[in-house]
Amino acid sequence: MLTLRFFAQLADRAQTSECACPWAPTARRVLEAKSLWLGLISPGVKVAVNNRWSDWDSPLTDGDIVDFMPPWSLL
Amino acid sequence: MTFFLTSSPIDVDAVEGDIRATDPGAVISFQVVVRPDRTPRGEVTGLFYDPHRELAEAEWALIASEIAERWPGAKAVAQHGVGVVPVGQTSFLLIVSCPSGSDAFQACQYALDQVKSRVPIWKKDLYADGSSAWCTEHRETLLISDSVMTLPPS
Repeated sequence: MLTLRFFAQLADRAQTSECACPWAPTARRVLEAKSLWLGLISPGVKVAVNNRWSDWDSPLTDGDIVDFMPPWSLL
Repeated sequence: MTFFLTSSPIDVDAVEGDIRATDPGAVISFQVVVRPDRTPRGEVTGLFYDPHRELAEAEWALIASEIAERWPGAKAVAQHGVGVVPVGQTSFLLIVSCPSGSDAFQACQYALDQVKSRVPIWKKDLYADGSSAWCTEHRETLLISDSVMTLPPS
């Protein structure tokens, strides 16, 4: 299993900030597994795995925490 | 150690006092103070800041170490509010000290640019009527899609 975390607007769209899902080989494949998530696959959305920057196509391991982050506007 | 993220009001004088106590030479202080902006949704009464805590702290630590490497003798301290920051309060404080004034300006600009591009913190406008909206870089409000995602079975 994987733990998915969605931040800011993505959390609103998911109606949760965190959920579990079956293992998939990459973050891209995680979202591709659900058609309604396809819209979230965007170059502007950043991915982190286990609190480290990652990317859409890096391999995932069972138990990973995968974060999906929309663009931010800090200041 | 001063943590980058804080849910308490930022004490500008205290942080700056700590820097000045080190006899640094040049000190540059930069603040973001929440403004009562008028938007199509109404007047902003505050901002809600929501960080990726682990990455935000880690990125700031890296940026501070980069400044110390690039400008000899430079030190950078920053604090960022988390949660609700009302209009009129400081939401972000950056203080850079350096033996050289010109280096201090350069290091401060570097720190600001890097924080903006690398530190994942999102902000939400809070309005007087109780509603709120996430801000994008150009302060456009994002409408929440009608198509709510289906969550996978846990």
